Amino acid sequence: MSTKYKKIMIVDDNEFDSYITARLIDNSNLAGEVIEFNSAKLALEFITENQFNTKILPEIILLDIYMPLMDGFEFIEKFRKLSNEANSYCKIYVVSTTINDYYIHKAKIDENIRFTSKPITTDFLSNLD
Amino acid sequence: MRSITAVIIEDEIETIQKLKQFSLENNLIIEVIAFAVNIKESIEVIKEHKPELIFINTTEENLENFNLFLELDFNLPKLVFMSGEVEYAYKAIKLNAVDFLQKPLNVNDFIISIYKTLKMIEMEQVFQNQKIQQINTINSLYQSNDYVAIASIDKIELLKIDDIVYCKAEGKYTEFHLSNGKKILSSKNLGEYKNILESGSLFRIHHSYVINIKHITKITKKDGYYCELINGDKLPIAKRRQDEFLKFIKL
Repeated sequence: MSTKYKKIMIVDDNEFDSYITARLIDNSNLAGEVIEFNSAKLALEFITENQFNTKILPEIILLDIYMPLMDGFEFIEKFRKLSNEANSYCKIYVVSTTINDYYIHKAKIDENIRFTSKPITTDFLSNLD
Repeated sequence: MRSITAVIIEDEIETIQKLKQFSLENNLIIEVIAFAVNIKESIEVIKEHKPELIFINTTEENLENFNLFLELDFNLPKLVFMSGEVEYAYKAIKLNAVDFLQKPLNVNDFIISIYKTLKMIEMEQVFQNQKIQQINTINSLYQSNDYVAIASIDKIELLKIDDIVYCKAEGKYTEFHLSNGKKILSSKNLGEYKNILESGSLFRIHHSYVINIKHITKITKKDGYYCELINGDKLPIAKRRQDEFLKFIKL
């Protein structure tokens, strides 16, 4: 069965939240593969290694904000410095529980980023473009 | 990862089967303890197992018997209402529902309702812990600092901290000046009262003086800072403590 996306990456240090998102994507038949990373650092390493290879890169990155060691914004900043291939191929969606207006604003003014609050909804998933 | 314990109150076979299937597929996050056909039948099992979540079919009968839930003598489980008629969502909200699932049920809505429940429980827990900690902090501040025991040569006096206007170092001794005008000489030096005197409303303005900021009447700024206290005494604030002092009194 063909899916809308080949690969979606979830970057979330909360195991439960990550699991929920993965389940929702599976149930919606949205992606052929879901890859979960519980740290932004490891996710960035993965993308850096494969930054020229769109066969391996995910089309969608669902990114949490509050994470230890490297938070979502630091991830975005470092990601922007990677190859053009990665930057044009992977779309970032910030998925967060934040109630901090500054963070929400910061995520929303960047036109390359989409923002949604947790829990991610079926509507949000089916409207990804 | 932990799973939420749940009881399901439902009498329609089709919905029961769906819920059985959904919870089986998601047994990492949900553990169904029991099924019951209505609130009346569910009460015993709810009392016995104290589930965290109840899925409840929104029927007139169940709404009428809702008070059975309110009579439970423990923290009411979180509630997710289910119905084919969305009008019931209004009643569900009034009854403090975490979520409302429209029938025919959809697995993703089911998962999201579990997510919401877990987050709600976590938030309540964090909030409560924080509250308890705040209370303990306040209590310990008051308890340990209400009084200070002053040992002089022939007796031990208990002073209310609030009654201390200031303490003055007198060599090996410490002189306590009280709000009723009395002075008490302690046989310990000022440094030995460090722990008690470094909290609450007391502040060391000078190597020789610890004052109670509650008793300051005026702060003057001529040739350095001076504090005037309710008993009329005027004490200097050491230059290197000025910044800290100004910060302290603003609090």
